[in-house]
Amino acid sequence: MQSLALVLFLVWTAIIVATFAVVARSGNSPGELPLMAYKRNRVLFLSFLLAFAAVSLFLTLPDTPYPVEGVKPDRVVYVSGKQFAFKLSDKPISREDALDDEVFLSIKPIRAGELVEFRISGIDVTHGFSIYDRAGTVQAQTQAMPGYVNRLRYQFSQSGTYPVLCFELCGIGHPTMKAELKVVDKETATNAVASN
Amino acid sequence: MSASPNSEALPMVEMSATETRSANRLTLFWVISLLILFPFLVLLGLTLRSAQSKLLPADLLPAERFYSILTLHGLGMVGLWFVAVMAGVCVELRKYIRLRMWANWTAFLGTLLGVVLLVVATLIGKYGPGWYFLYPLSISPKGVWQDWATYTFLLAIAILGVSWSVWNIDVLWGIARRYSLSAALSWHYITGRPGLEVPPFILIVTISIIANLTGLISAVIMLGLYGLELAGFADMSDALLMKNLIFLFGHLIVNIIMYLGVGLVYELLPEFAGRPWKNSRWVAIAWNLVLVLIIIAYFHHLYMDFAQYKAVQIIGQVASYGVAIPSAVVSVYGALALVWRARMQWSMASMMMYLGVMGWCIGGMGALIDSTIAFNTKFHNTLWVPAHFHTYFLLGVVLMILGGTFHLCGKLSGLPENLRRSRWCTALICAGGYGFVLMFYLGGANSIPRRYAQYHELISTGTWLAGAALVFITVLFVGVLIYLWETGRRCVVALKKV
Repeated sequence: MQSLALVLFLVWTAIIVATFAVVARSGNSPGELPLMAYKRNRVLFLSFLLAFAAVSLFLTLPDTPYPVEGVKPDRVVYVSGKQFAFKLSDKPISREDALDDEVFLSIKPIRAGELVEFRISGIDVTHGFSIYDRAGTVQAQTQAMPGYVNRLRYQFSQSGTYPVLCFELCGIGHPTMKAELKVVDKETATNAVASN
Repeated sequence: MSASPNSEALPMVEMSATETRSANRLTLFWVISLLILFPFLVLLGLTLRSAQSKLLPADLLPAERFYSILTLHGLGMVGLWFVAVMAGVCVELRKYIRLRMWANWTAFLGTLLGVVLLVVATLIGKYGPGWYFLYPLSISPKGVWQDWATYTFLLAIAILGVSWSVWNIDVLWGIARRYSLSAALSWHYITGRPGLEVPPFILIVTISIIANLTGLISAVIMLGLYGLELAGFADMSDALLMKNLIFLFGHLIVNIIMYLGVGLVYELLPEFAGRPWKNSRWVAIAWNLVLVLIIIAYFHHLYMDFAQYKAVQIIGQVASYGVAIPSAVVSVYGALALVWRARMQWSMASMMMYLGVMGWCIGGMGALIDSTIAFNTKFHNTLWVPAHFHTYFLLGVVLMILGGTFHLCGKLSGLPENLRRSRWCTALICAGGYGFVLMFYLGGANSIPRRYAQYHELISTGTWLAGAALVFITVLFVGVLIYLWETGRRCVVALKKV
């Protein structure tokens, strides 16, 4: 997805630069602006942009990260963010446990293929919960905001260790705030601990 | 490029010699502020990228210093380009309306005071929640900064907000007195009724000021809630509400800086092209649509706040796509048509303005990608975000303003232009600037998060990208130094003349 975006961006940039260069150089053979062609091309340009926008909206709007109410997740994991660590639990996290740095929480292994719903909140300031794949590319994210629970659903296709980074500036320890999600194959039933 | 039928052109405003001298003097004071603050803020940015590249060791620039510099750099740049474009707009506006000098002076002195307070809060007080000071981090120092730094910062924002509001209201009042608001919004062009001839510049300034005042109202509400919370009414503020308020304000101010810059292009580029750029039904419809859509589009900053209603997320994406269309069809296409086969006078001013429109388009593509929810899931708060807004700013509106400022100082000083030096200056700023932002785009595509003081192993690509960015910033800075020399000496000569 990221590579596609970069390619799209670079292609459009090349088109824009080429257009501006051609127009700038057109001054080498000066003449009057052909008004009819100008007006006709403006209508064509508008039509093209409207069509492009409509197609883009049609293709992209169905793909949103917001939970679909009719679909039940296979698993719920509760997450709280506090400067500068995430806590993960299979049960709702009490405010006392979220605030206490001596309390260590854990979750049962996440199984590849199951739809996990992370219910995420911040306890002190707003953090960001961003799941990376094993190749170091962002897959999904949401905000961990005090007073709100954001529900992020994700399906891990393969077993492995998936890093989580904080994506909202939360203080001087922001770059160090991370977690790991251990995902096992469906058949494996060992205890894996999400560490922070 | 046609006018409304039977339109009546208002006579230009005539100022006395004293009024002209007084206005020019204040404008040159604004120019001096720009010439001092711009390189200072660029060097702050260079410091940040140096820390991220590890060229500057972490013990020389610990995290609390990094984040306070980041806060000053971001807020400083937004504030600087707002006042710079407003000062430039006022120069051109004086041909059409009467402006009150005391409003401009209020903004100037308020800005100076606000800047001093911001520098004190950040560089001395270590206040460092980032340029959009997201609640509740903004009032949660946790031992990194003292409470006085928070109060100083909020006071700075309040002073800047009040002085800029006074300035904006004076401009809108002046326009409404001469044209009436509905005429300034060019509604008679849309309906085809006879009326006043309205330069597109007046339309764009009117739209921009209305949008900016909307954002400033949001900032007032937000500051009020901060005041209540700091006074002890702890349950008054809500993190999601505060985020909506700050982003409505921040989103609008950065976009209207862009639009005011484009307004200057509408006004000045025709002089170099030898062709007029008139108002028309297309121009009027486009800019009225922009006013509505740019306000609604702010929802695109909160896509990753799943607590927001899904409907507003969808509206945010539709409005973000929508606002690009009138801008492209009328302003970008109009600028290209103005230059097409024209006997262009290519000077530093016209080159920078033309290239600024190009930068606006390129930054716009980066923004459109990020304003698509499906892409935003991957790009939100990665380096893609500073990539697109640095393109919009540095290579878009900043170029427009730098071009306009050089043009003004040239006119006032009477000094001839050295075209060779102008080309070098423009080329270095563009080459350095595009290389610098490319490193941000590559960072975003490689999932490097923004606002990290240092990059650890998982995102170590960020370190060498920051190192490469330093090379480009150096090239850019050489161009900036040439610009400072060329514009600075013209400014000094002009000051002696007024």
